[in-house]
Parts: sequence; C-alpha cells; structure tokens
Amino acid sequence: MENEENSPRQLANTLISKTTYSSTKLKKHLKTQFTPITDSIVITAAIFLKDEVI
Amino acid sequence: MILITGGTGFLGAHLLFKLLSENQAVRAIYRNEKKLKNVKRIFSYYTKNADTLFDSIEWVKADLNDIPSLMEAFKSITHVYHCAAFVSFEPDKFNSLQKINIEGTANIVNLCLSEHIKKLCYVSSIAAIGKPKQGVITTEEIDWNPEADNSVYAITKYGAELEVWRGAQEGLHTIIINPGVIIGPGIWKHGSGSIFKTVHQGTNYYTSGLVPLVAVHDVVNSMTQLMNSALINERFIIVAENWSYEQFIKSIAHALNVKPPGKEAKKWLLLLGWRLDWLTNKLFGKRRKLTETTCKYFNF
Repeated sequence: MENEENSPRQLANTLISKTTYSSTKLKKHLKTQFTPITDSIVITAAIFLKDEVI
Repeated sequence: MILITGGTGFLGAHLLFKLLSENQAVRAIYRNEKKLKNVKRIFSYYTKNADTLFDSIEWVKADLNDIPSLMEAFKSITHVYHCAAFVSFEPDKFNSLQKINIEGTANIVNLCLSEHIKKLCYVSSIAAIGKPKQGVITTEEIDWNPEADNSVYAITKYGAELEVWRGAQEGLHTIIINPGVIIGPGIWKHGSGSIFKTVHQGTNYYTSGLVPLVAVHDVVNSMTQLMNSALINERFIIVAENWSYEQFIKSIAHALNVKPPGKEAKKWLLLLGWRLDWLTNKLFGKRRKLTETTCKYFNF
C-alpha cells in the first residue's frame, strides 16, 4: 500500500511542472497559514542528518 | 472511530500522530509488519511517548484489494482517511497501479457507502489535476485532459478520484486533497525524503521546471480541518509555494551542508537518459528511473 517504486528522480521529474499551483480555494475556506518551505527543508534536513548520518 | 489506510506511510504516519495528539480513537490498516517501525520513528521526532502513542493505535492487517479484510477494518468506523496508494511512473506497472489505486479506492468507496461512513478524505495528488497552458495558474477547476501526456500514476490517481466522485453521487460525503510534493522527515528511501538522501550523497545536475511544495504538517492539518468542516464533495489543491527545481535542490544541499549541483540537465541529456534507462531495464531488469513521459514534463 505504500510507495515502493518512486526513486528521487522519478518523483521529482514527474511532479515537476511547467505551471504554478494555487491553494487559494483551501485558504479561502480554512484561513490556513502554510509553513515556509525554507523552514520545512531546514527541519527535515536536520532530522535526516540525525537519522542517516550521525 | 477513525480509519486510516496507508498508516505506515509518510503522510499516514504524520496523520496518525496528529489524530492521536487530539485524543481521537484511531484504527490503521497495515500490510507489512516491517513498516510499522516507520510509524514509531516518525512519532519519536515529535514526542517522548512514541511507544505509548503507537500502542494506542488499533492496527488491522488488510489489503485494498482484499474485501473481507477491509470489511473487518471498517467495523465501527465513522470517518475514513484513504492515504494508501501505489506510486510508480513506470509504464510497465500500469496494471498494478490500476489495481491498487483505482480498484482499491473503489473498494474503499463501496465500503464507505455500505457502512454508512460519515465522511471520506481521499489523498489524491496534483498529478490528477489537468494541465493548463503554460503560464496559467493551476486551480481545482482545470479539467483533466485525457489526450495530454499523462503519466501512468496520474491516470490512475485521476481514475481513483472518479471513484470518489461516484461515491459522492451515491450519497457519500467526500473531500479530495491534491497535495504537491510533501516535505517532511521519516521515510528516506521513498518520496521527497529520498531527494534529501540523493542530494546528501551528491548530485551534479538539477533540472528546469517548477516544483509545487508543501510541509507535511500543513497537509495533515488541512485534512483534519476539512474533515471537521461542513464542506463536502470538494477537492482542494494543497501547495504552499512553487519553487524552481534548482532552488529546491540547492536549498536542500545548503541545509545538508553539502556541495550543491552546478549544472542543469539539458534536453539531450534527459532524452539520452530515458533511453539508456529503458535499455538497462530490458537487459538487466533494473527498475526504471526515468521515462519518456516524465521527461516531457520539463520545459522543452
């Protein structure tokens, strides 16, 4: 049931887009504030280093 | 009680943590015992009581295509989050993709109808959204184009959405989410986590194009809010920011303190790449990493 087949290149290549996506509809209904992606990358990278490197 | 399919996956495990943190009673479907450890590890990032939290989940071994096992999992359930899916972009995997993503979702929808489930949240993908002309912002209103160069994964996720819409027509209250690339920790072999691993190992190339990104916590927060809202039979794109792939890969490299890739993979290199990849697959049976369809997504 889980994702077994997607290599990094496959995932990135396929979801790479020529257009931008908008969450305007979601924000209109939920008034949600998304986490800045830079922050998500920094946090995920820190956990990756702890899990896989140290 | 809430049922989650795909609970041992990256998004499913984060959703489990969110629901358990809200003291919800949760049952989760698993297929492979070995993957249960993923859930505990992901919980351990956020709490010291990972084991206790994990033990409060009612686990049921079931398969999306095994209806008797699913019927067992649906007992006393009121709400369903359908996160399980098979992700592959290999044309050779089309039958498996259809079986799991479309037929599996049809089974979930049918059981939701027969068990009078109050609301179903289906995790789709931006891959299932139609492709507008270049330069146009993609919204939920863009129609699917069957004539476009859609990947086998996209075709089956769209097919699964049709099953959910069919359920809605038959009276089921549904929510469909279409997240972009979900960023977060936990599964480093697959999904976006594997991009961190690849960048850490060192990569020379990045590609052109945009990547729609969103944090995993924002996805699960949106899911639970949508399920708790009065909204029904709607779909929502969940994308926080659209980045260039170059910016994305270089930001990961910077955060990991490794050398960022310096060269853009040009068209000829990718075209050569997918052909070599195809040949390697045919000669040695190695899993395909790059297909012609996926190459066409680039800004050629």
